[in-house]
Amino acid sequence: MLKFILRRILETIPVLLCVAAMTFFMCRLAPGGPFDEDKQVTAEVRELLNKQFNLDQPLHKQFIQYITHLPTLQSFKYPNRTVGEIISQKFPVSAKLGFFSMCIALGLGILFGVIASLRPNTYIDYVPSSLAMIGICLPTFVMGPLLMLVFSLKLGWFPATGWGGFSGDQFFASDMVLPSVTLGFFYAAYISRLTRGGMLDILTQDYIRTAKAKGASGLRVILKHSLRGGLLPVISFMGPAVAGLIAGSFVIETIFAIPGLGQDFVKSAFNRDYTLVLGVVMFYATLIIFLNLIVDILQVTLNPKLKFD
Amino acid sequence: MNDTSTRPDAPDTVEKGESLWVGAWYRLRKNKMALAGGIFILLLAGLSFIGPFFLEGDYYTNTVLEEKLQSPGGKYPLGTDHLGRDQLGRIIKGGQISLMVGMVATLVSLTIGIGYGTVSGYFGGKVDSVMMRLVDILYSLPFVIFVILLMVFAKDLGDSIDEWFRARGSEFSISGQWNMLLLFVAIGAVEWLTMARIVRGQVLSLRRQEFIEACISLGLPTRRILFRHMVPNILGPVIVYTTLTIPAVMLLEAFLSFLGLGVQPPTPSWGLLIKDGADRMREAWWMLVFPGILFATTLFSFNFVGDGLRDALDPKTSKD
Amino acid sequence: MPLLDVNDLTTYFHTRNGVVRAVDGVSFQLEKGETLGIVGESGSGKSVTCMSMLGLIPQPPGRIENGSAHFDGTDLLNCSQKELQSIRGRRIAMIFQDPMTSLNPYLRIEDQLIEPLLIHGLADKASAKIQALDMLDAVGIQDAASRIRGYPHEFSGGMRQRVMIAMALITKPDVLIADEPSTALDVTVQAQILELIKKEQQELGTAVILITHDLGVVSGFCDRINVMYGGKIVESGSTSDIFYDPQHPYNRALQNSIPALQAKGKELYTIPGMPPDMSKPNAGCSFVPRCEHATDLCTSESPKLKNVGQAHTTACLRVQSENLKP
Repeated sequence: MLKFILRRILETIPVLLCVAAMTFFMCRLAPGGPFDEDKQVTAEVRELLNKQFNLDQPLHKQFIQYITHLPTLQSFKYPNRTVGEIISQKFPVSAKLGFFSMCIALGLGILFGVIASLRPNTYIDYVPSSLAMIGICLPTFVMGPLLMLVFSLKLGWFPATGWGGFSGDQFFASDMVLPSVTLGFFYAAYISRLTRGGMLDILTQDYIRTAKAKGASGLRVILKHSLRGGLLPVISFMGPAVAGLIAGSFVIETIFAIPGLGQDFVKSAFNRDYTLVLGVVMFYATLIIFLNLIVDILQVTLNPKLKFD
Repeated sequence: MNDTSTRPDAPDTVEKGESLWVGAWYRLRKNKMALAGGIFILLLAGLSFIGPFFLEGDYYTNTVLEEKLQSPGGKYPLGTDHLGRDQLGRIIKGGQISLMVGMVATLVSLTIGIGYGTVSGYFGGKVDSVMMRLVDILYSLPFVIFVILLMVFAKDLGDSIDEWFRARGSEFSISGQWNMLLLFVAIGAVEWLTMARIVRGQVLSLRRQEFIEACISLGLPTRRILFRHMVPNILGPVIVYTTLTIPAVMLLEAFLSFLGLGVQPPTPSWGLLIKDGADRMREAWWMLVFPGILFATTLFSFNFVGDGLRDALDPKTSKD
Repeated sequence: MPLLDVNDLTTYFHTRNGVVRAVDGVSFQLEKGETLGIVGESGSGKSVTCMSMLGLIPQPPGRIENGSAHFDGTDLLNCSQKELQSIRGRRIAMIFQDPMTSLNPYLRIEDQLIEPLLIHGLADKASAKIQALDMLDAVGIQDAASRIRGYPHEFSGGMRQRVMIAMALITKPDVLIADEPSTALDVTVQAQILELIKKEQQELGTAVILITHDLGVVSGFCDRINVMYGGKIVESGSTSDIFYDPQHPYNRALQNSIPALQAKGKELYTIPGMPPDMSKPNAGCSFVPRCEHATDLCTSESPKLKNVGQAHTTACLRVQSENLKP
């Protein structure tokens, strides 16, 4: 297994470099610098600023500098705060959102998927499957506002926006419900379809018949004999799911006014805050690659037919 | 007295064999939801593309500020927006744009995906491993981040190009189309991965199939093998996933438009309409609800048709 | 009192192409320690008969329309799920045709072996593991101790079938149903598997129902044989009766087709015609299209099993009418 991990790490380095390069050069695509828009800044001050941030140096030198000093780089638009600081402050908020969304996604998704697979093509199947279909087709940015409309504005059950729960000290607060549900529901839908498919596949296999012939009860057949194999598609989906959750967080944080890293990313792109953009992108890319490694290790552990090779 | 002159093994009727497509069509027809979805899409396409011929030219840009934010009813069956524009007209035009983006971007991802997948599957071996590893890595990177970056920075580039032309006294404006073009390419570049995987899987398994070997040993020319035997087998999954890619692409476009990075106003797309609606949710719920529901229903329909096609074309999952 | 008493078992499959009468009124008995062979072509209903008894038929589209199967006081076809589950694997065990797909690829062999003991509360985990090891050894797996923690894909087809046998017999059941246990295996392995079943049977005193299409297999193995055709039993008797005194035309034709009994150089005898389509059954005897001696009566009346000798029955109207023996 160690060799596998090492090989992965080796693979990762060129990928991350590519990501950094692509991000860096994309930022520079747009003509003009980050300070050109500032009307209050005179030409001399601008020059000074540019110098301070090394914007007058040749591109490749800037690039190398960025990569080597990334966390300590100062953000352009947040005076006196480094990229590292900003990320470490804002990420926990997004992480909480992600965590609860994932819990909802896995919990609801697997439950509904298993239920649907037990009696395919009957009402027990149609109801969860239709819900899942709705979940896939109702994008987060439609569902979010709709949920807000119904549950906050009209019914008043949950607060519409707010960030107390996420950045406060309590683990859970009522304003975390709507955002987590919105983000999680979409992935719950995908996961329930994958679970249903995986379980159906397994339940029609010969060895399920063998298990029944041994006298296993229905519950035992599901839990001990089917879940292991049936959930494999869900586990492979975890990689793209995390990537999707991150992307989704951009929108959710915007809609629900949550001060997380996602909202910052979009803002910093619009503001030409190169350092912050690069920092956030590299952070997310590394996080995702790391999580994918864990998912892959998990897959090999659970499926005896796979080996680390 | 038996009639032993009748051969006991001559059947009374020769049973008609079911070709894959005939069986698939039968199963598809039985799938009510897929049929409903298909009909909805056709109606929508008709409304979006043919409907406008019956409307006034400015049906989606006509601003009548005095009549802004009117609730649905009367002259404006779906209400008006914050600039007094008829929501119904905007939704129709939005449908045009969203559907068009959907199809074109899907075409882009189809082309890349099929090309990549065929090469990888055909050559196999090391080439295949490397190519698929790349796909794996890309699959888990949040591509969306790059698309966002691309749209942000390239938009500015488009504006600058326009300025450059204007400074030289020319009326040439690239930014409008530039944006759309970029959108097609960017979205297409995100969604090709799944298609590549599917095509590669099919090509790979087909190459090894015994019936291909049988064809070769029968002396069939390569062209015949390719077209008569391989392509029809790849076609099935490709059709299914194309139908499933369109809603994914439309979702991505709406997502970008929601962030302000997709289609630019005043051209409406459903994503933009939803954004405007979300912003003004408290005063004008109709601006959010109608486009939102219509969008979701369209995605619904595409997904049902795609699912239906998938079930219909895979005999193993047929329900008898 | 027979161990297993099956009466008029009828199972139909309701499909989009019509109702398939897979098993159409089958009755037979099984005595303690007896070996019964059920012989027939594909589609004759032999597997479905036994799977119906244990409730292993997918219930849509299948449905047990009628019949009873009394086992030690319980009617398997009309009892609760719980009762059925307590009998399956404990008193009646079944092994299936394809060993490659009959074992769970995600669980270790050991876990699958001890499962019947754990489910039925016959042993705790520790002693179950010991019994599993002994069983694995008994079925002839070399190096059982080191292999028992392995996974199915690490075993060959023959070895997997041995594991299946071990798994079925670990609870020392009263009946073992073996559905074509050697069909999917190489010829040399086939013989070994059958030997193994025989040996275990003698040691444990288990009754065995052996389902197969291969006459050669039943001849050396079974005490009694039921010949099935078109979802019904057409002839039933002791092994020597079936082979040396075949009464039903189908059985006769089968005996004639065995290559070894024919003279060298002569054309091989095959039964003309095709197996019947069970969704479009005939009114009378289902063998009529392929029978040399069919009469008008045969096409209208469906024959029932009647005695033609000592514990030897057949379902053929012509034989019954010609046969004056009581």
